[in-house]
Amino acid sequence: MLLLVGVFLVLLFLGMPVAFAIGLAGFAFMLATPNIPISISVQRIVAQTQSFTLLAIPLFIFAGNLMNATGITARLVKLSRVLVGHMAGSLAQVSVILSTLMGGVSGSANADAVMECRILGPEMIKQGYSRGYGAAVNGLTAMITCTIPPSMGFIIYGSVGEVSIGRLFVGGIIPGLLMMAMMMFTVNFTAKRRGYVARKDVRKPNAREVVSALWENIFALIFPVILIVGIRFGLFTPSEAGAFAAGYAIFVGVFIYREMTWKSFLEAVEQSAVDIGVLMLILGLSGTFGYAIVYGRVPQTIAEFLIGITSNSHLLLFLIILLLILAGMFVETTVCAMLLTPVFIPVISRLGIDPVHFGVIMMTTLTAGIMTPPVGVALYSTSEIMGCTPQETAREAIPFYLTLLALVIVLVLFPRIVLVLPDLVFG
Amino acid sequence: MLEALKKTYRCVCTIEERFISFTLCAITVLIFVSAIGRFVGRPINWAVDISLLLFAWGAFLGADVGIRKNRVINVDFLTSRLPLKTQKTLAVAWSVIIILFLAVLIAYGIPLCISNFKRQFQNITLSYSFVTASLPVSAFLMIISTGIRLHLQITDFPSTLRGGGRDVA
Amino acid sequence: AEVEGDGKSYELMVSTQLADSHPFCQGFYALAKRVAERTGGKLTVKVFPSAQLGSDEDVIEQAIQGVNVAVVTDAGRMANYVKNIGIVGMAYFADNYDEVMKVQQTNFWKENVKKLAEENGIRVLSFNWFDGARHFLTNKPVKKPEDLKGVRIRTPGAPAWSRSVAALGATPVTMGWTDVYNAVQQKAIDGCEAQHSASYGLRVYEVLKYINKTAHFQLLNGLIVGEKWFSTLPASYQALLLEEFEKQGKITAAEVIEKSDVFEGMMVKEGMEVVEVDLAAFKKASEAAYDELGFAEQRKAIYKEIGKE
Ligand code: NA
Ligand code: NA
Repeated sequence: MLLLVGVFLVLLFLGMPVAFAIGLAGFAFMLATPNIPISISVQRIVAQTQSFTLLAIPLFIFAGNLMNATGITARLVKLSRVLVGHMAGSLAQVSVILSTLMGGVSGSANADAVMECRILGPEMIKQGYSRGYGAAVNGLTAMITCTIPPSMGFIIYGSVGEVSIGRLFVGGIIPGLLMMAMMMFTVNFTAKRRGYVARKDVRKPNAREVVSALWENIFALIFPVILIVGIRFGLFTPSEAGAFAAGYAIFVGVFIYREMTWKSFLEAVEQSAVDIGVLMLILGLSGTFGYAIVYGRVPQTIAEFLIGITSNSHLLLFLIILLLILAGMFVETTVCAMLLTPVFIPVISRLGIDPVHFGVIMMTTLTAGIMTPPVGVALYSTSEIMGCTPQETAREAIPFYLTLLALVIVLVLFPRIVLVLPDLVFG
Repeated sequence: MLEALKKTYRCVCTIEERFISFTLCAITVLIFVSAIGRFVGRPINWAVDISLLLFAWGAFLGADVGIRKNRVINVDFLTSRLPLKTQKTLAVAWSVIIILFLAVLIAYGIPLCISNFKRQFQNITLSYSFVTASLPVSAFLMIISTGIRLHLQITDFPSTLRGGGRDVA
Repeated sequence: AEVEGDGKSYELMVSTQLADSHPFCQGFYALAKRVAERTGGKLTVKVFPSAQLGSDEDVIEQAIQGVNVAVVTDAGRMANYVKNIGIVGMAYFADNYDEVMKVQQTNFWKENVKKLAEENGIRVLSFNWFDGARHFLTNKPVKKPEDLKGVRIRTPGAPAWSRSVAALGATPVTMGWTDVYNAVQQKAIDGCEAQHSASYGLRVYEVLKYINKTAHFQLLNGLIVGEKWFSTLPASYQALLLEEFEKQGKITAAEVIEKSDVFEGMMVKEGMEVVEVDLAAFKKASEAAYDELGFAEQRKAIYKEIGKE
C-alpha cells in the first residue's frame, strides 16, 4: 500500500506522464509481490478495455465530437446568447447556459470544457475578461454537462456499483438545473465585482425571440427526452446510449441541419480516436493499480476504518466526500470512479443511504477533480487554450469550487432533490 | 537508408490512424445494430465480442497516436521550477523508464498470448489471445514514438515542454 | 498444528463473480476458518467476491500463470481447455445433484480432470459446488418448448449454454447477469434462465411473473487453482486443500438445495407463479444441442457407465 501510493506520488510530482505514473506504481507492487507473475500486469491492462459498459466511454466521446461537427453546438451557442447575452458578465453566463444545454446531448464535462474554451475563449479575451477567469468559468460550469443526462460518470458508477443507470440519469436532472442556477449566481457576483458589466448594445429578449430560438434548437433539446424514453422502453441499454447519441448526431447533421460533410465527419472521427486513446492509456494502465489495491485489500480496510469512526450517516457522508475530493485531485476521474465505487457502496448501503442519491453526490464531487490541481485534465487543457497558467485558473476558480461544495452539501442534506424524479419515472 | 525507414514509418502511422478510425466507426455501428436487433427479437450476440476486440486494438493504438501527438499529460508545477538542465535530465530518465516498461509488457505479453491461446471469447469461437496481442503490438509502436520523443528531448528539449508542444513524428 | 507443512506461510485467494452473501462465499469463509485452525495459521484462505480480481476468465488465466488464486468455474469454461468436460454443462445432462456426483466417479471424468492438470496446468480442487437447478423465468407461462418461440432469454454466452437454450426453443441473448433486472424492466429482453439463489438475489420477482420449472441445467461449479502455485505447496497442505474443498462443497450443496425451496417460496410470496412444465418435451428438444456440439455419442457412453437409461 505504502509502496503503491509512494511510487505513484513521487513519479507524478517529478513529471512522469500521469498514465505511466499510475501504471508503474501498480507494476512496482506486482514486482514486489512474489506470487504475482509479471504477465498479469499485461492481463490487467488489457482487461480494462474488455467491459461492455465501458464501451460507453469511446461512444460518448465520439458523439460529443460529432455534435460539434453537426452544427448542433453552434446553434446552442446562439440560443445561449439570446437567453443571457444581456446580463452582466454575459459571456460567462452564456458558458453556464451552454453547458446546461450541452448536457442534454453530451456526456463528458471534459469535452464540454475544452469546446467552450475554444468557442467562447477568444471573445472573452477580446472583451477584457482575465484569461484565468475565462478558463475557470468554462471549465467549472462544464460540471453541469455531466450531471444532466446523458452522463459518462453515471454510466461508470452505475455499472461498477450495480445501480440502475436509468435512475441515475433521471436523478441528475434537478441537481444539474440547481447547479446551473447556483453557477449563474456566482457568475453574476464575480462578474460584477470585476466590472464585467452588462453590454449596452444587447437587450433582454422578448418572448417571441426566446420561442423562436428554442424552436431552432428543438433537435438538441429533445435529445435527452428521446434518450430517457429509449432507455425506459427498452430500445437500448444505457451503455448503448452512446451509439445512439452518435447516430442521432449524424442524422441531425446530415439530414436536418445539412452541415455535416464527409470531411468534417472524418475530422470528428480522427479527433475522437486520439481523445479516446489518451484516456484509455490512463484507464488501461490503472488496471495494474486497481489489481494491487484489491490484492492488498485496501477497500475493506477503508470501509472498516470509515464505519469504525462514526455511524452518523451525515457525518460519514461528509467524510467520504472529503476522501473523494482528495482522490479526485490526484487521480483521473474515471479511474477514481472505477476504483472507489466498490469501496463506498457497501458502506453507504449499510447506513441506509440510497445508492442513486450517493451516486449523484459522488460523481459531482469526483468530476470536479478534472478542474483541480495537481492532476486535472481539464484544468490543464482549459488553461492551455486560454493561454494562462493552471495556477491562475485555479485561483480564479475558487468561488466556483465553493459553489460546487455548497451544492454538494445541499444534496447531502436533502436527498429528495435527487430522488424525486427517478421515483416518479421508474416508480 | 534512413529516409526509407522514415518513409516506411510514416506509412505505418497512416495505416495505424486509419485503422483506429475504422474501429471506432465499426464499434458504433455494431452496438447500434445489435441494440435494434435485440429489440426486434433478433439479437446479434457476437456483436459485443467483436466490439470489445476492436476496442482493445483501437484504444491502445490510439494511445500510441496520443503519445506521438504529444497529448499525454503530466504534472509540471514542481518540475517547471527546476533549472532547465535538471528538467531535461528528469524527462530523459522518464522516457527511458517508459521504454523499459513497455519492453517488459512486450516481453511478457507475447508469451501470455501463446501460453493461453486456448482461452476463448464468450460468444464466438475465437482465441482471446487476439485481444491480448493488442497490448504488445501497440507497446512496440509506443516504444518507437517514445524513442523519437526521447531523441527530441535530448536534441531540442524546450520544444517538448507543454506549450512548446509539437508532434514528435 | 494438526497439519504440519514446511514451516513457511502460504496464502490462497478465492475469487468469484458471486456476491459476498452467496452461500458459496459463506462456505469459503467456513473453510478458511478450518484451514487456518488446522495449519496453525500457516495456510490462509482469503475470499474475493464480486469479480474483484477480474472476470472468471481473467482469474483462470491468472491461476495458470502462477498467481495464488482459486476460481469458481463451471464446466463450460473448462471446456475451452478440455472440450469433453463441456458435456456436464449441457441441458438435461443430469437430473439432480446425486446424478452429477455419480458422473464424477466415472473414468470419463477422471481422465479429463487429469488432462486439465497435466496438459493445461489447471488443478481441480473439487467439482461438487452445486448452485441449484436453473429454470426459465418469464412474463408468460411456459409449458412446452413451443411456448419459448421468439422469447428473448438472457443466458451466459458459452456455446453449451446458448445452444442448449436455443434448442429448448428460446432466443438466447447474452448480457451481464447484473444487467438483467434493468433489461427486463425496460423490455430489452423477455426473461432469463437462472437458479433460484441468483434470481432471488437480483429481485427478478419485481419484474417477472412466472417460474417455469424446467430444471434444464444442474448448475455445477468447481474450484480450480493453477498447477504452478499448487505444486509449491507441501504435500500435506495439498491434501488438506483437496479434502477441505471437497468437504465444504458437499456441505454447501446441501444448504443450497435446502435454500432453493425457501427462495422459491419467497418468490411466490412476492407474487410469482410456479408453472409445471412438460419435462419430456423439453428433454427431447435438448437433444438437438448435443448433436450440434458433437456430444451425442459421449453422452451415451457416460450414461452407460453410470447405469442410466
Ligand atoms: Na460552460
Ligand atoms: Na450530459
